[in-house]
Amino acid sequence: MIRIFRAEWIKIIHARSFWSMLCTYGFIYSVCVYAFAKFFASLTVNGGSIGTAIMNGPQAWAAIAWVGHWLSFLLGFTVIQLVCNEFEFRTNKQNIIDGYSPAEYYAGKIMLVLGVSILASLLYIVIAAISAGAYFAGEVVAAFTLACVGTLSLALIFAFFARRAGPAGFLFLAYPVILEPIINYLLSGNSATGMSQFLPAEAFSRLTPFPVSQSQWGGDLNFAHNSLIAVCVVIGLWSLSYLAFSYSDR
Amino acid sequence: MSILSINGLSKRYGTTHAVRDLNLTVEPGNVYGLLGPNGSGKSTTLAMILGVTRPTAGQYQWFDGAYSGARSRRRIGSILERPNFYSYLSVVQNLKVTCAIRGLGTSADIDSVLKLVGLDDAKNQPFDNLSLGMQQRLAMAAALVGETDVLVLDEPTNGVDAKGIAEIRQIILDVASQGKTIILASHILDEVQKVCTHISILKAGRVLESGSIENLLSAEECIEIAGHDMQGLFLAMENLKQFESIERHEEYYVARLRPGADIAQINAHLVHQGHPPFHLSRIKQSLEARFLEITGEQ
Repeated sequence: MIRIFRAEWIKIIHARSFWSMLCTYGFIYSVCVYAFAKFFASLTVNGGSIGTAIMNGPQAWAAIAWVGHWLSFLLGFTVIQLVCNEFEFRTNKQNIIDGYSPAEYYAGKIMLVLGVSILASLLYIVIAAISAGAYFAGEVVAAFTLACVGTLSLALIFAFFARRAGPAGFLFLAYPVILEPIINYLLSGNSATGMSQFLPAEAFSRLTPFPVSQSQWGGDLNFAHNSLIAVCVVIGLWSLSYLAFSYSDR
Repeated sequence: MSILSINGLSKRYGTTHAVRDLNLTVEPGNVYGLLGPNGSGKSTTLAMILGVTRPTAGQYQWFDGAYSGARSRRRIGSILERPNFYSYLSVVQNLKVTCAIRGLGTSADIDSVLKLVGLDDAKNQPFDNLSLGMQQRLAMAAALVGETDVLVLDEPTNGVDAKGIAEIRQIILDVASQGKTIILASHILDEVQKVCTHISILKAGRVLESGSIENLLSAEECIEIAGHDMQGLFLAMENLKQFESIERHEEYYVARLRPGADIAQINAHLVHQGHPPFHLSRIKQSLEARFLEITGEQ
């Protein structure tokens, strides 16, 4: 594992495009949180400001997590670019020739997903602490991290299947907007308890629900339940893309 | 212990057979050449034994199966097709990635291989800034770093200038002189003849002939022969029934010997017949002639 980590670290630490995308994410995230707070502060219901309710304490941390999760598609593009570049420049092939097993190569990409998710979570904590005070909501942070891991795993599976950044990026964007709603419709399921809750975009978005929704954790279901489903979906995505990678020519 | 044994290895892409039922064994210390025209299956064979292409049938085993697939590859330095490196990383950083993956090699090893391939002055340049020749040298450095036991080289002099080709050949010979095993795929006959001890000649995915260069080139031995009476000499030689063919050149004949033919006996017979040759020498076919003959492209 240390061998894989060392190799992936050298690849990432010198990748300027990766760090500039992360900085862009941090900047856009901060601006969006500011705009979000301003927008809700201006809304009044029954004479009271919604912003005051949302941008305070645990609610604020949940709201900022919701914003961050929606913006994590930017990080998804970074993952797609890094993984697809390896296919395009055949460095994935060279890594295997140099001594990675397909499983080790894939483990390196999972490390990338986890690493980016951890960095995004650290950014989230900093932004949330600055915007909403040093209230530390362990469950919300864990949910945000898991949602990032899920979204980036979705990017990973498209990168491994398409192997080209353009088509992979398109699929990554189109999946939650077009494909998943169609699948959801075909399943005719109840998104709260039926098969639809196992669809990736649904499973991950339920971890960071919109803060004014009925319950913080999406309907009647709780954090543990949603997290368990998200973990199962992530493992399913990883398994699928690993199988596709290991049973094909590099 | 054999370094590599391949049994019945095949690869099919749709209806195209890239490699068919390939069998070969590479012993320690061999400089083994896979020789064949473009599309003969050399690179596909190397891609299969290096784990990047899945064989359709057959199997291969490195080091008699002493290590798993990935572990055995860490003991093998390889160049496959064109050099594949991270464009944004420098020469040294790319070699650090290789060392990290192999779990072998130190900064001192990196410096020493860079010196060996003549890239020590360009060590901090990004891969993107290197010429094709320099990229090929970096690939050679990556193959050598970390004290690998075996080198697998696919067209290692591709894109390298004449001076670079000579240097890479010398590196290969130096590595071979250390007793390391080298497997080299090339379509350049001269390259193979200069560095290889053993070869397999491939065409359309099949091995047509394999063995040591020495045996392959002496398998069909020829003599050059000339006498004062060339017509009489020809008739005397025909009577001998020791030749596969006799071809007239400007001032001599080139006769291909039948297996078991004895040159001393031939000379004695011709002297006895009154046609003593004033020039008689054994010649070996060039690899080029042998290759064209075996592949039927003459």
